[in-house]
Amino acid sequence: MTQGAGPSASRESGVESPTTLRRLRSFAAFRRALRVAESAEDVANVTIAFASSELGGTQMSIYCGEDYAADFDLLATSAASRDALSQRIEREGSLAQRLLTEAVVRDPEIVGSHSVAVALRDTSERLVGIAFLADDLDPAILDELVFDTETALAARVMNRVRAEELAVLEVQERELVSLLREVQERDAIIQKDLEEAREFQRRTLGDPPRVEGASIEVVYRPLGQVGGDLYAVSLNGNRLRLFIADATGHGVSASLTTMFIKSVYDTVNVSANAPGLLLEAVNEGIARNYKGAQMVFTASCVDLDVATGELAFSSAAHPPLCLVRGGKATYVEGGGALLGVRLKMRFETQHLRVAKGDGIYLFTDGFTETPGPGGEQFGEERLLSIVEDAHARKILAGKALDEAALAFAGRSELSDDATFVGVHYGG
Amino acid sequence: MMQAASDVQESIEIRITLEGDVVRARGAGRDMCRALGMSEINQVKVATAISELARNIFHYAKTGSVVVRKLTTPKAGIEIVASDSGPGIPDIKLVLSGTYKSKTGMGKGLLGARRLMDHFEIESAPGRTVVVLRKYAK
Repeated sequence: MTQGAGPSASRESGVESPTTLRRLRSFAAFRRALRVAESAEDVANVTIAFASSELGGTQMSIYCGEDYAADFDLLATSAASRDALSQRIEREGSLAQRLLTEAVVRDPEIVGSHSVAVALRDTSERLVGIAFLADDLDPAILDELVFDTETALAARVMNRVRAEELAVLEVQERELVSLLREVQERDAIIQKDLEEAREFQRRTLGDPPRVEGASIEVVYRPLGQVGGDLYAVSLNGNRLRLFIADATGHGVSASLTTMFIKSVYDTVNVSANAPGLLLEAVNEGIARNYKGAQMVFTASCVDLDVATGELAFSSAAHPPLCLVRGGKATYVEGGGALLGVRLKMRFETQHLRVAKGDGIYLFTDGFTETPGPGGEQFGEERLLSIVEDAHARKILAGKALDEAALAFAGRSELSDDATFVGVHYGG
Repeated sequence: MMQAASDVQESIEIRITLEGDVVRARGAGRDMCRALGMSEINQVKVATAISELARNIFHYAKTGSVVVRKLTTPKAGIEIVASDSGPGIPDIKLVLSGTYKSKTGMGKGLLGARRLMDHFEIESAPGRTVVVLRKYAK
């Protein structure tokens, strides 16, 4: 459609006829009314009012889509009965498709007295609406009317689509804020639970006893709030027993395993009078009662007679025992199989002797398998050297090891649970 | 495994009286979408639209209900009916035309909810507002 086709002939002569002037004024008023129309429905009403009053009472109906994909709904009509008209025209229907190419279709199949259908477009390929008229209008006037109406309708449809898109963004933002708040609330609950579990685990493991003739050091560093490592230190007469275990995995599930192990350990601790027997009894308790629960773990046990220095040691696939004797640190390999896998496992007890001033140190692989920035592991040799040095300097070997491992890792935490239990024999 | 639509619960009504009910309504809608085998993106759209309606009820009407219903006609999908007896949304036509600048934001989210869904109906008057949304499975 071309804008302003109507008055052009008169302008050439330089004299506007009264009819032309009246039409120019009425179109100007029409455009002002369109400018302030808020919705597509208002635009349709303004157009129909204009057609009724200024274009000889032409009967007119206007349909418009809610967006660029929706069918066209009847927005306004000057027909006597709105119900006699089609309420909706399909965008993919034959009439709409014809209008895309032909712009004007005569005798459209629509209930009512309309004889002409005119495309209202925002681009040459897209309809925003359809106008129906009962009578043919002067083509120049029709062109102008259609141009003004489709421009106004296209702007309202675009506004509506943009408003919807903005509203979707707002709704999604509110949803995100709400979801984030839920996650934070759940996180706070989980965090609180974990802190309580950590405290529970700490109390369950307990502090080592004070033993005359031996100073005991424990370092317990779970990876998260709770860990899969376990230690126990108990004194029964002259027998000082050290027990250390490492459940597979870490976190909550591994920490639960440690609680089961501790429970079984407490049950059999007194009656098992040698480290190998203790490991066998713990294995029976776990493998029999929690079969299928995947409670697999390594462990070591040391019995030290604090009166004589006699030492008994047994291991179940756990890292070696570190002994510092005469100032020299060495490992005692224990071997053994994993615990919790099957019943009736047997574990050897090795018998050794330490003298006053010697050290007995148990640890889990969280220290030795700590990776450095280059991927190299902290390793058993490094641990041996640090413990020997600390022992010689009479400083806490576990603390020195912990600091060295963290420095080696270059981070504020290790990559696994790590536990150290040491005894400086002779105090 | 995808659950057959016939096994899906027919409908569930959630009373909206507390802020936590918004979460329950959203969860119920999402669960039903999942059970109906709807795509994850459509599950999120439905859940987001339900949240908006339920939040509107909680903030403006204080109490109301959200019914989440399995839909078989005219197409398979999910229907959400949110109703309340609050003050209603003034100038609902203008709000939905996208031209209304509401001071309170009341009803503004409806535009977004409508955009997220395939079908939208609303009746609103003081004392009774009913919004019907549908999302079709395919």
